[in-house]
Amino acid sequence: MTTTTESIAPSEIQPYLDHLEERVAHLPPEQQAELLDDLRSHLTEILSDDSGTSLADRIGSPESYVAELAASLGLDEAPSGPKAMRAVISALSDRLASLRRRDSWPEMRWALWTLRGTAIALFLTWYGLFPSDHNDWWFRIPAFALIAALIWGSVRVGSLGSRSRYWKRLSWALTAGGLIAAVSLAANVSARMTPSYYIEQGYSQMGSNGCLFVETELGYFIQDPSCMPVLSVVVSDPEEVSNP
Amino acid sequence: MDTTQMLKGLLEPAVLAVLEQEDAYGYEVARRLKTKGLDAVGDASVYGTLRRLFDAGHLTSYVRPSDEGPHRKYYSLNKSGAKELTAARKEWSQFSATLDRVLNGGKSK
Repeated sequence: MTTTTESIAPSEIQPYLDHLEERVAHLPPEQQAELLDDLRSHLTEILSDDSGTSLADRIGSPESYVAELAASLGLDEAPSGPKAMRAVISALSDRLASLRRRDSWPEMRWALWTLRGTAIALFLTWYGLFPSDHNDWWFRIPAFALIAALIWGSVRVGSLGSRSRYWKRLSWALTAGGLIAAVSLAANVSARMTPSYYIEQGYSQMGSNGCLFVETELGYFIQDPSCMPVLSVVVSDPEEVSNP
Repeated sequence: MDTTQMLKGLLEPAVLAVLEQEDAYGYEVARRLKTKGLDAVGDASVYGTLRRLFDAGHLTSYVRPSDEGPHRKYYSLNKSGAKELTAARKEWSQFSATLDRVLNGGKSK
């Protein structure tokens, strides 16, 4: 069908377009735009026929009009089988293509390059940032310097991606590395949320009071007589605990 | 009987017949149908039918300037549409004759 130039719809027309937009949300963007543009032209024609009555009086409410139109066009009939698969693939392809066409895509790429660089940098400097043996702030300076350098490198490689296949492949490799680093970091952080992680990392000792305890970064975990850790008990000095 | 539902199935030949007489834009087609007595059919159904007929290749469209407002999209019957209308008339003639006999208790020839 011939499409007309898109224009701002009068307030009377907009509710009809809004209802149709909801109804055709599952269709590819080009098809949605064509349907909406054509309906806008059609309703504008009706409005220009000056009859002195409102649009709703002439053609019905937006809800009923769009419901009748959807039934007439078969918009609610979901495709099935290979047709359904093709429709999904087509919709996804159109969505990706429209995303790439948008002005915000260049900014999104910069964000992606920064994020992957951050993930790789944090992965490589994790034990430098959070050492188990001391907490001196100056110890972290090399780690921060490395993080800054890796983020800069990731962005630089990404921006050079359009120059040659070599840079593009390197950029893809960095993205894959960033994903792996992010998953590894998430697993590490998740493990550190549980006291059992520290108990496994700590040293089991026998106190002078005969109480078994485990020394960890978080404090001392007292163990019961059968040497099972009591995860909820953390004390600063195991000697204060009386023999069970 | 729900006349609206019955009319929906017959709307395509009705719209083709209206456009056979003279080219028209969407809302005008709906108005002509109402003038001829099909006032139970809404504009949405007529507009949807026009789109279906156009997509099926039975109609062509063109834009014509209007003194009263924006340009209007006119539809006209093409060869495929004319052929479709001829076939629909033949089918309707046979069907209505059969139904007439059934409803009036007549015998088939």
